[in-house]
Amino acid sequence: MREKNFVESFTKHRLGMIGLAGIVIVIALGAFGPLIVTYPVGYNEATPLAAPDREHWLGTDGLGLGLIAEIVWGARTSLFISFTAVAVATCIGVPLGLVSGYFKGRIGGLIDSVIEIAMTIPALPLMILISAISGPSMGTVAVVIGLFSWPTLSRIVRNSTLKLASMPFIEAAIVLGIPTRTIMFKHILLNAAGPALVDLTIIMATAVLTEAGLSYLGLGDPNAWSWGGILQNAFRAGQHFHAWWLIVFPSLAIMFFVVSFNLLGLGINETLNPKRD
Amino acid sequence: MATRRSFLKLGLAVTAAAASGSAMAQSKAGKSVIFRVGLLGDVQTLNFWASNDINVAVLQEAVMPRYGYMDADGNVKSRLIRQIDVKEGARTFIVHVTPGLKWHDGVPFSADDVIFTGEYLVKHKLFQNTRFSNVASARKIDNLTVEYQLKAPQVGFADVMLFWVAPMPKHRWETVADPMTVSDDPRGVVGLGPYKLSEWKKGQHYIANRNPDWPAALGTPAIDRVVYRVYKDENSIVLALRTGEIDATSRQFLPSMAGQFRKKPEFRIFEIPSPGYSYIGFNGKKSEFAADLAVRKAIAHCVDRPKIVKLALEGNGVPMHGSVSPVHKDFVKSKIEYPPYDLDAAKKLLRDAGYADTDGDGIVEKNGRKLSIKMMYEGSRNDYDKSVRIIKEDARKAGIDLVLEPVDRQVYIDRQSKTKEYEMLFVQWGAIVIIYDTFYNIYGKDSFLNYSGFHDPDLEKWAKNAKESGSVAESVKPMDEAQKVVVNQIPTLAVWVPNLIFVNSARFDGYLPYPSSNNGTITLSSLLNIKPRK
Repeated sequence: MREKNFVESFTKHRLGMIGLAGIVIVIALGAFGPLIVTYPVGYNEATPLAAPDREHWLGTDGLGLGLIAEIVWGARTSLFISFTAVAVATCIGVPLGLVSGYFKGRIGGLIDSVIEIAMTIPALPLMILISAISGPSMGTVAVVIGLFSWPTLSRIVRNSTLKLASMPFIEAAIVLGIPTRTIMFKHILLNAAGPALVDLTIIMATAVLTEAGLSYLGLGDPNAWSWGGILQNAFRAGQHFHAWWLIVFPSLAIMFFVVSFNLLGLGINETLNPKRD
Repeated sequence: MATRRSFLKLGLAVTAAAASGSAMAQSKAGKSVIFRVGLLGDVQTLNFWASNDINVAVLQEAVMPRYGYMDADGNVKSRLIRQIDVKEGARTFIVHVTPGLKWHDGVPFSADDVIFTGEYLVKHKLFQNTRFSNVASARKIDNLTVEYQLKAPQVGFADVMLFWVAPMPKHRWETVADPMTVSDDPRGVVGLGPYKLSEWKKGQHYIANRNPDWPAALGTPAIDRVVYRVYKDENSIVLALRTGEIDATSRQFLPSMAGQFRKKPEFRIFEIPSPGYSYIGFNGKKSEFAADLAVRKAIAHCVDRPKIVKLALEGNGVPMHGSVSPVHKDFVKSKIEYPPYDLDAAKKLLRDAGYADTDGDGIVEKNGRKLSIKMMYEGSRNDYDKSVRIIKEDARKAGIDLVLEPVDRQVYIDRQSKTKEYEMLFVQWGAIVIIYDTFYNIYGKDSFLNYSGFHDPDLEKWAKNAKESGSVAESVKPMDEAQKVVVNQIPTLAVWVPNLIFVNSARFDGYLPYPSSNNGTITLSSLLNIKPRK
C-alpha cells in the first residue's frame, strides 16, 4: 500500500518523471544502442574531423570515427561507472551507517568518527593520485569513485537509523525477540531507504561527472569509450579550437545524464517529504 | 635567506616583465632581456649525464652544452672543443680544448675534464658512455690537449664526441661514487655554458642567467636571462604562446595546432625535418609475447604507416619502413624494410606459431593465455595516442590485444630507462644522427639506448663493425647487415619520421632552426644568436 502510494505520488511529480524518462533513455541507449551503432573501431582516413552532416549526424573525430557511436558506447561506460560506484558506496556506507546508528555507544561513536574523517578528505586530489598510480582502467575509476562516495550515504543512513531505532515499533520488535539483524535490515533499512535512495541518485550523477573529469585529465581508460574521454582526446589534440562538435555533443550527453539523475533524486525526495502540500 | 630574497626579486622581475606584454623582452627596471621557453612536462633531472630526457637536453643547451653542434648543412662543428685532429686512419684523435672557458664556479675548463668525462661515463655506465667504448687510452698532452688512442678505427668518433658528449667538471664529480643516484645538486649546478642555472622549482620553472665568463669568441648572447616554464599539456603551451606568456617552446606542433599562428605577424613558424623517428619497442623480459618473434613479426604486419602518418601526424611526416630513417640517404639505398602492412600475413604467422582463437572473442590464445600485451606511451602526446590507437585496431583484427597504457611523462621516463617495467612502448627518438655510429648505441648489448637489453650476436657484430669503420663508405655494408638483422628480429619497429613545426614569438629575431635538433630553435646556437626585435 505504502509502495503504491509512493509510486502514485511520484508519477505526479513532473520533474521527477522527466528525470526518470531521461534515465530510461540513457539506460536504453547503453543497453540497445550497440544494436544500432557498431563499436567505434579503427579509423577512417577519408573523413577525419568531418562536421555534422547527413552521413555523420554528430560529426567525426580526428581519426574519422563517428561521434554518435562514441557517445552511444560512452553511455555504457557512464552506466557501468555509475552503478559500480553506487554498489561500492552502498556496500561500505549502508552497513556502517546502520551499525553506527543502531548500536550507538562506543562502536557507533567510533564509526561516526570514521565517517566524519572520511567526509573531510578532499576526494578529487586523492582520486587523481590513486588513478595515476594504479593506471588507467574503468574498473579502477569506478571503484575509486565509490570509495570516496560512501561517507555521505553512511551519514544519511546513520541519521535515519538513529531516528527509527527510538520509535515504538522498533522497541516492540526488540521486546518480541526479533533478531537484531532482522530489525536492522528489514525494519530499519527499509524505512531508511528513501533518503538513501535520493543520495544514491546524487552519487550516480557525481560518478559520471567525476569520471568525465578524470578522463579529461587523462586518467581515464583509453581502451574504452567515455564521454570524458572524447573531450580529453579533442582537447589534447587541440581540435576543440576548430571542431566544436567534439566538445558540444559529449558535454550535452554528460549534462543530460547528470540532470536526469538530479531530477529523479528531487522527485523521490519531494515525494517522500511532500513539503509543498 | 639571501637566496630567497634574490629569488623574490627575480620573481618580481619576471612577473613585472610578463605584465608588460611586448615590453617583456626588455624590462625597464634592469634593461635585462628575458627569453621565456615553455617545456612540455618537467625536467627529469639536473644531472645532465644521467638522462636522455628531451627537456634535460633543452636546459642543457644553455647551461651545460655539448662539445660541439651540427650546423644547418648537417656538418658537426666544434665549440667547447676547438678542433679534433684525426690521425692514423681514424685510430688516433687529438682533441684541442677551446681556451678561456671556465666552469660556473670559476675553475678553468681543461684537458683533465675531457679525459675525466670519458672515463667517468664509461665507469659508471652513464648516458653516452658507449661513445667511448672503443677508446683504448686517453693521454693528456698539455692543459688544453688530449690524445685518444682507439682500439679499432672509428671514423665517427670525433663527430659523435662533439655532437653528443657534454663535459663533466672533474672537480665536482670525481668524489661522487654513484652518479646515477644524484639528481639535483643542492650546491647548485656547475655548468660550462653561457647561462648559469640560478633558480629552479621542480615542476614549475628553471631560471638561467647569463654567464659573464663565457668567452666572447664563442658568441655573446643578447639574452640576459632564460626562463623555462613547465606546462603539463600541449594546450597550455599553445595558450601560453598565444597570450605571450612564453616566447618559444621546444615542443613541436601538429599542423592543426600551428594553423592558428599562421598569418599572425606576432609569431614565426619554422618547419624543419626531424632528426628522429617514432618506434615501437618490445621488452621480451617483461612479456612472453613480446619475446616471441612470431608475435613481433605479426605486430609489424599490423602497422599501416601511411595511414598513421595521415591521421596521427595530419600528414606532416613520412612513413619509416626500415630501421634507418630516410634522412640518412647513404644507408637506405638497399631498401631493407620491416614486414609490410598485411593483416592476413599476421594471422598466418600467429596460426603457424600455434596461436588460435578458441573462444571466439577475436583474440588468439596459446597455452591457455590470451595474446595480450600492454603498450606504454606518454599520455600527453596526442600524436602518440592516435598512432597507438590505429595500431591497436589493426592488431585486434589480426587477433592481438594491445592494451593501451598512457602514463605520465615522469612515470614513462622512469619505467623506460630505470625500472624497465614495460611490455611494449611507443616513443620517438629525438635525434638519431651519425647513424653508422649510433646504431650500436641503440642495439649494442650494454648500450645505454638499448632499454630492453635486446641482444643478438649478429646485430652486435655488424653494428660494432659499422661503428668501427675507417670511413663512412666502409660502414655502409656492415650497416646493411645490421639492418637485415633488425628487420628480421624486430627488437624495435620504426613507424614514422615527423616534420617538425615550431612556433616562436616574433618579438625576437635570429632563431636558428637547425635540422639536427629535436629542441626546435632552443639550441645553444640559437640562444647565442637571438636578439630582441627592434
